[in-house]
Amino acid sequence: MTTGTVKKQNKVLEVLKRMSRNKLAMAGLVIFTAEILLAVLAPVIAPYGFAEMDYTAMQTGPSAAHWFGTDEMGRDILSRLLYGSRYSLSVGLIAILLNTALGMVIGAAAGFFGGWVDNLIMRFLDVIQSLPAMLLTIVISAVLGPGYFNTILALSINGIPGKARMLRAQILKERNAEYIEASESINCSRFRTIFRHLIPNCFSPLIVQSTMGVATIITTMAGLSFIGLGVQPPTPEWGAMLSGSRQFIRNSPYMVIFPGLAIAVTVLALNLLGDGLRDALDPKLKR
Amino acid sequence: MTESNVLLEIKDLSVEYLSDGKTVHAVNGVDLCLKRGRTLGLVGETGAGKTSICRSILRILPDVGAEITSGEILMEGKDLLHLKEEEMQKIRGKNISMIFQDPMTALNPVERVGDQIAEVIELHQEQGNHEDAVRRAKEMLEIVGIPGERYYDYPHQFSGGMKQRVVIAIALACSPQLLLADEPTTALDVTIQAQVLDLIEDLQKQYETSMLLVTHDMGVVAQVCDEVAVIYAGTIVEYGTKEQIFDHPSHPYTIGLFGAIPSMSEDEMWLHPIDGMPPDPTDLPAGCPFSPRCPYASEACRKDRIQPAVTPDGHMCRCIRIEQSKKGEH
Amino acid sequence: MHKYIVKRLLWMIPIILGAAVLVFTLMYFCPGDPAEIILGAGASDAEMEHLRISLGLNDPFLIRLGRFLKDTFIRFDLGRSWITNLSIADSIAERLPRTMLLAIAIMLLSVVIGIPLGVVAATHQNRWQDNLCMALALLGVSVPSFWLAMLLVILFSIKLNLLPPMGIGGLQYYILPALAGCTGGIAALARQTRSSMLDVIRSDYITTARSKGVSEQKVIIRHALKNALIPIITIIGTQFGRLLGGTMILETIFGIPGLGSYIVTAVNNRDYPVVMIGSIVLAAMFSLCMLGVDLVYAAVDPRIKAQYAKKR
Repeated sequence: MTTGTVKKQNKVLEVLKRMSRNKLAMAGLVIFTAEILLAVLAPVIAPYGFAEMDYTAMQTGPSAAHWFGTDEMGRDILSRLLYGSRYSLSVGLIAILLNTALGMVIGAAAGFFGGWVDNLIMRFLDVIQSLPAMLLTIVISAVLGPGYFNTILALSINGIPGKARMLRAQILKERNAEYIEASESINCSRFRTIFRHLIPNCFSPLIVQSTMGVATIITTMAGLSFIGLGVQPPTPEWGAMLSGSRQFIRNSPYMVIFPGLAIAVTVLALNLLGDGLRDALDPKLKR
Repeated sequence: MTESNVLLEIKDLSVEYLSDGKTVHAVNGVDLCLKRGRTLGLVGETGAGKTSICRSILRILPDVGAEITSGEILMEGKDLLHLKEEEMQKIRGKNISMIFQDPMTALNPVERVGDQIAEVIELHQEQGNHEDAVRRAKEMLEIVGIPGERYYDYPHQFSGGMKQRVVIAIALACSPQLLLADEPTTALDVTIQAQVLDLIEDLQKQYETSMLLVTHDMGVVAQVCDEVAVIYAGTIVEYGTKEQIFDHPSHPYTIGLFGAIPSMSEDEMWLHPIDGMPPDPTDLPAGCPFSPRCPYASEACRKDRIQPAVTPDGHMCRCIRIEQSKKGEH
Repeated sequence: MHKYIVKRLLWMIPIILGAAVLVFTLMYFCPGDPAEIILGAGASDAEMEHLRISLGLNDPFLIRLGRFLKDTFIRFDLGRSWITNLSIADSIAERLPRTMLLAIAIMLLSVVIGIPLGVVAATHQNRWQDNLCMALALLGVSVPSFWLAMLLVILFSIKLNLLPPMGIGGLQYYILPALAGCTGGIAALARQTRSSMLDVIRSDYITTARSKGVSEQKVIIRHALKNALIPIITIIGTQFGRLLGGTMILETIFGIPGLGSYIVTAVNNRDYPVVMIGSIVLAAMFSLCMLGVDLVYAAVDPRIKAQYAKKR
């Protein structure tokens, strides 16, 4: 047992060491961590409140007082972006946890029980996947109505089929592996053996998929608010800010540029991190 | 032997690979000479640099990290290493062609086998159109013992031995002067091995092709080769005619190789494997590369690179003991 | 082979029925009273009750579901919009070609740009060309299409006045939407092409092709790319599915009256029949597309074709 723990620690250390040599991945990590810090500290850092209106500076471009300019109601865009990051990041992280958990439960049920349970679950996943993900999110979000937790719920549906399938495939692979027979022959519980091998094997693809998944969820969420669903104004959500700026695109392009940049930078950071994690977790893949 | 009789001459060839920041010394100053119509066997263990030599001749080393660091490869007096890529393309498949070790992976899985033969014909034929190439490809299939109508089949419909016949058909389709056969029978079943080897030998005689046969199988050497070069860790350690090598093996490594072959005539209980492992090609010993495994190794062996010596029957051997035993006799 | 296609087509029926049941059930739980949505807030209680009875809205769930499935799949009556009272079938017939045009334009752009980028990256592995292509791909996945759409409008419509910012008309109206929508596909294809080309380029049969004297260009395109194509086709298929969702946002931004914006408007107006039928049409298109992918597999790889022929 102790040797096992030591070995596991070494492995984690090794992965971290490989990660730290990957400059792009580290850049992604630094940016994302910084964004989380900014989101947490938004009330302290933000120069203005997110709903605070400056009647002397309505819809003005970037200036010393308002670095990213103000919107049509004189609200400071930088402050709104900072507050908005709290929504985007928290929704992204909670939704990914939720869909990983759900995906794993569903996939594990299919893999362990097999037979008709497996069949039923797989056909259900087929049906879900026959609908474009964006459509399903839109419909569910319309059913649930607006709001923070409803949005999270609607967004977490997307990744479930992929994760469930992956877990199921791993379980089926492990079930037929020779060492299962070997461990059964020395009277080890089949369930425990599968589980102990499963966790490390699923860990790498899951963590990579989840990192990239946060990025997808953040984009989808912005898209959702962009077409008027999801989080509602005056909540300073990035997509909603973009959507609101559409009518001022001709005279105030900065109103379009900064919220989009916030989304793009976040997604870029998460993708860099995900790529780096994949390379570090599976060095064979890197050439 | 006259100069014009020589088809291929390799002088002081060295090949290095870069792998994980370390330099792999795959081939270290190899000299070889192949006469027209003759067969030279290149014998050694896996990783000894045999395949690298073949690929260097065709200049198809992997493009990332592999480099020919020194030497000349003269084909009829022309240095292949200094040709332009386009000129080299005209030689590949036409003047020099290659048979690969693993027929299972050597054929393109998504192309018809016939088209794969016709491709090399069409590339190099001076006149004629696609139909001529197809006709010739069908002939080639028949020649290697496959019905011509199987032109339209795909590789996955063939057995391993059949695939190797197709590979041979591709290699010989343009009647090359030089055939490089890289362990052509290793991946095949024993019964198929003999058939394929016979086929290669027959066709080689028929087309008057010279052959460089890479193998680790002394039995194959005995059947096919005229000359033999024994290679160890990228260095030729012994080089002579088949008779010289088989009758008077002089290098301890060659002797070891013969010891590792089961003998039917002698009533032996055990094979004699060579102790130890081949040296790490990123960190070769300064002296004789075989010295760590050699039962006769002395301090002198480990110091400097061993120079080639001539054995009493006149073949080359890179062993310090040849000179020593000569001195001892005088 | 024909048997395989028929079998796959038959298999689509339960999937699409399943999608119909799923969407119907979701919409059943949607908040709001349909009668009020149809008649507007000013209608009297008697009017609303009358409408509920005539539409069968008071019937239990299973009966309504059965009626919906029967109308849609047996009588092929797709119904009318609650809001505009126009035939849904007519509206979709009018709008679908626009969505298809946009989707195909995006897919073509993705393929024509993405695959060459991946090939260049793989053939120049770890050199600057590779890094440049992969940096572009990374940018492609990171930039949200609706933001890019707005940036393109700022540049090409407002600053340069070259292209129309929205609406429909000639093909020029589709240029900006297609450009905005193609980055994700380009990125995904470039990455997949690079990695499967790197797998293939080291294969023995590529060395065989080189040893035959085939020029490097032909080795890459005829021998390597053709073998690398299977996972690339898979990505094209999944990207197409993603695209069908993506057109909903693109059409909304660019004011293209296609199937996507039809559904989005219907969701916002709670025009449930339109949402249901629209979703089923999208699901059918996606399933057909995946069937197409499977058939292309067989065309590209004779081993897969042999497998299909064996399965009866």
